[in-house]
Amino acid sequence: MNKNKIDEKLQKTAKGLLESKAVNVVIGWTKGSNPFRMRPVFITKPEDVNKLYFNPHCVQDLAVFLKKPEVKKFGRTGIVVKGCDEKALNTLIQEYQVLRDELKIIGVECMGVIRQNIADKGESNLLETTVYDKCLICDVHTPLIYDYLVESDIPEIKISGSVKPYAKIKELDSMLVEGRDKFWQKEFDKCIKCYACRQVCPLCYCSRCIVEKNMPQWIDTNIEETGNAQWNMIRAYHLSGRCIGCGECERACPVNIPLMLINEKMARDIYEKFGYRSGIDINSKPVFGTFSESDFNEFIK
Amino acid sequence: MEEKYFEITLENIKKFVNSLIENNNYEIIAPKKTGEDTFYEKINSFDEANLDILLPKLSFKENLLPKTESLFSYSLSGAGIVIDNPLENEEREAKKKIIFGARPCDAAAGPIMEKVFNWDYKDEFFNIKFKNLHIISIACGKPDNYCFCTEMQLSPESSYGSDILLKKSGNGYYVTVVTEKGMDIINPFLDMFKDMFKEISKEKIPPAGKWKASYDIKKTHSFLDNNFEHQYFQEKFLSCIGCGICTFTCPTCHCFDIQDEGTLKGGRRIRNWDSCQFGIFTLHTSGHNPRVTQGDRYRQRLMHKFKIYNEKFNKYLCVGCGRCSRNCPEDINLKEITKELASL
Amino acid sequence: MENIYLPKLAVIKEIIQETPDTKTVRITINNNECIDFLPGQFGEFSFIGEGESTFGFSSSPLRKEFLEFSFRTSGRATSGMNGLNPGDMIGFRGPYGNYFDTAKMKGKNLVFIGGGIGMAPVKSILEYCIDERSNYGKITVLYGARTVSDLMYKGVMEEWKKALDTNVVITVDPSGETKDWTGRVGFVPTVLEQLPLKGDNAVAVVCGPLIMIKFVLKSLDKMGFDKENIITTLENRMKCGLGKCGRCNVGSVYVCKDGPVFTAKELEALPNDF
Repeated sequence: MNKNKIDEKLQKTAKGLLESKAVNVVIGWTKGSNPFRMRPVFITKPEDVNKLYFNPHCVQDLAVFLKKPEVKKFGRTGIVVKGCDEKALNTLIQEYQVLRDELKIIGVECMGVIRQNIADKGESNLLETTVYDKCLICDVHTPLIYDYLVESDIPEIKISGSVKPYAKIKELDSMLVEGRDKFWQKEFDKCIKCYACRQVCPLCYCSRCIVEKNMPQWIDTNIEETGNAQWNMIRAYHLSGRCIGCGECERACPVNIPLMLINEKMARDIYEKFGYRSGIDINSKPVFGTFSESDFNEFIK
Repeated sequence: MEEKYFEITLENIKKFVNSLIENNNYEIIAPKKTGEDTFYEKINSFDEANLDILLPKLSFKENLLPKTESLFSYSLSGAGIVIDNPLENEEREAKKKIIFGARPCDAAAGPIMEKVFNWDYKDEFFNIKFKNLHIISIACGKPDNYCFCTEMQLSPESSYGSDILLKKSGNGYYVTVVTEKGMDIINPFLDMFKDMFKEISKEKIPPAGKWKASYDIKKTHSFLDNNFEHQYFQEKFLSCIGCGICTFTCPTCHCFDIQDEGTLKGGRRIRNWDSCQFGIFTLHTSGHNPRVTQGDRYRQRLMHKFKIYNEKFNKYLCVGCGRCSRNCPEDINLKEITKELASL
Repeated sequence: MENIYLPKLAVIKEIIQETPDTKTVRITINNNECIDFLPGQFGEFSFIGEGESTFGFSSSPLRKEFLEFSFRTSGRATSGMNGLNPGDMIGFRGPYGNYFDTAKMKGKNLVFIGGGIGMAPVKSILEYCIDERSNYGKITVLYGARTVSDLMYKGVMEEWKKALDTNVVITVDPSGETKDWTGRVGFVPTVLEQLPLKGDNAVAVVCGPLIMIKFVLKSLDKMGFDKENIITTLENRMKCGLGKCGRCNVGSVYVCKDGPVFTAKELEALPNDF
């Protein structure tokens, strides 16, 4: 399917859903500030579906909007998702945040999205060197669950191995604690506590985040060494075993903290220790929401 | 002060900046490439400055209003409380800073913020830093399509808020010294190096480009005057996720929170950057929140910038740098919005 | 060089447990500095270590032996404050904001209406007027709370009742009464409409929950009160109290600087941002 056909099928699907009133809104992407930026759009009228597009600049994980009270008000929702975004839906369904029946999932086949800071310089070629690390290890080019699928005949990216996704993890693993500590302290020092990592995360849906709870004050409010380290670490903990690796936190971060190194490391540890991957199976129990007698930890028995 | 005009070669500007660094009378901050992006950071030599880019990713606001700032410290013992006022110390120890290679939009933010911190009660924490901050800006050659300084009644060559404004010449820069603070910086060099700054007449500097606003921001203002309840806000900001990027990367956004932090023995009262985009910003203890939706919150941001501030200070609380838009994860574009509102 | 965020230290002279979750605190500033304020103004009171809270003064500025405020324990700073005892120290900044226009009230009949802890600023202006009783006409006080146990200022109500030509009406919301309750039962606006009050040559002061204010304004309107002669207070979230931190504004109006006192007419002109 060529580019136009992708958009055509996408628009046709959305139109059908809106016309039949199967959904009240379709969340998708539309043209943004320039040809290299796409932005979320909320389509409520069938005649507006021609605003919907999909291309490798559709970086946003639209699942994030399902937690928004203003969006929940729409009721039945159609949502356009890439494979990675769809994994977020699965975890949301697993955690009873979204009802599968209230959702019409329009999956799009995706071969990768282009890193925004490169796209901003005018890059629109899907290459090993232009996409996010998550795309290089992606095994969900076709979303795992969908009600409608928009196929793509864009070939897979040729991987020569010259780019090593998340290579820094191995490097950090090989360091002594002091070295890792220094590395992360330097990174967290940049944090401005804009909370974009939290807000852009489809799985950070607490109505009152722990940083907003002050009785007691769990997390130091300062935007300095202690407050920043506490914030970034607590968020990492809250996402371990849950993060599906969409990478939105790292993309949004205005000061370029490599947050995916933490999330990916956590995901690998969880897989290694519990054989669990988040966002894969809506019928499985969340790894930290369940108990197993075969758990390797002694204290739990 | 009456403006003074000079010419300086590229080689000399390098010598000038490196001498400033060596003399150590000022801390020199400039756009510096760090990782994949450029930020305003301390430089240790001219070569560390990255002057080729349009704008650093964040503004240099932190030098006027730190992310976290101690308002006082306290110690507690029994029922006794001792409070320690840091201001005297701060004034004594304040380091003079120069932002070298700022853009005119960022430079303009200083005096715009200054009004808020002095219109009634005087905030000396801000004032000490403002007094010690010197801005050497470089006129902007080519704004990108997120930029709208011209619409904000400034221009890529505006000297508002700069102490010295540089403009590229054939083999160096034209120098306009705008303020006494600017003169203070170069005076020692006029004595020491005869040929470094060559005084010229104003006419020798090519006239500013004919920058034209593509819409009238006053129309945006008048829309906001009359349309508080307009549906636009609720629809447009459905895609706003409520993070603080637009406000925290903004050179003029200045809202803050005040918190106590410490142990049973003592601690400090601090102010932290805060954002009108956060849901709890206006949440009452009773649970009532005047601004319930993200539309309400973004409307506040627009109102504050293009109406409320203007009613008090007759300027806008926006310099048109476009950072909020470039950095927005959901591609919410302030230039586009102010333009749309101007035409509604 | 003045640090506008620096609190003065004050000693707690007396604490009155008003209701299960509210207290009235009387303080004097260290070295007995006198704070000149006017009814309606507010201060930033802090439990040093847990933070500041914004409260209106609840005492009459003419009674100079102490400065008084009331609070409900609900957040971090007030929970800290709840643990304090007489003799302990707290921080104080202020006074801030505008005040009730007593010039406008002179010679007029006055109606003071308070709901719950909203009675605090009303108490300040009421006692101020009682202290200069001859300047004003007839005084009516209507104070309501959800239940009998939620009624504050029980200890000083008798004093209000004793004032010359002053009618004090106390009410509790329906089903908030006890067996031995002798006051009224009914919501504040309902009871208000049953009182023999006329809007001409009268000024009404109304403070309380937003929802109560909204209905009381309607009732007063019905009773013929001019919107310019109805005075109320807004209580938006504040941090600095100095017109800088940017959170208390309602449209273009900063509650900390242009308020907290507004006439019903001014309120009407504000956008729905409170």
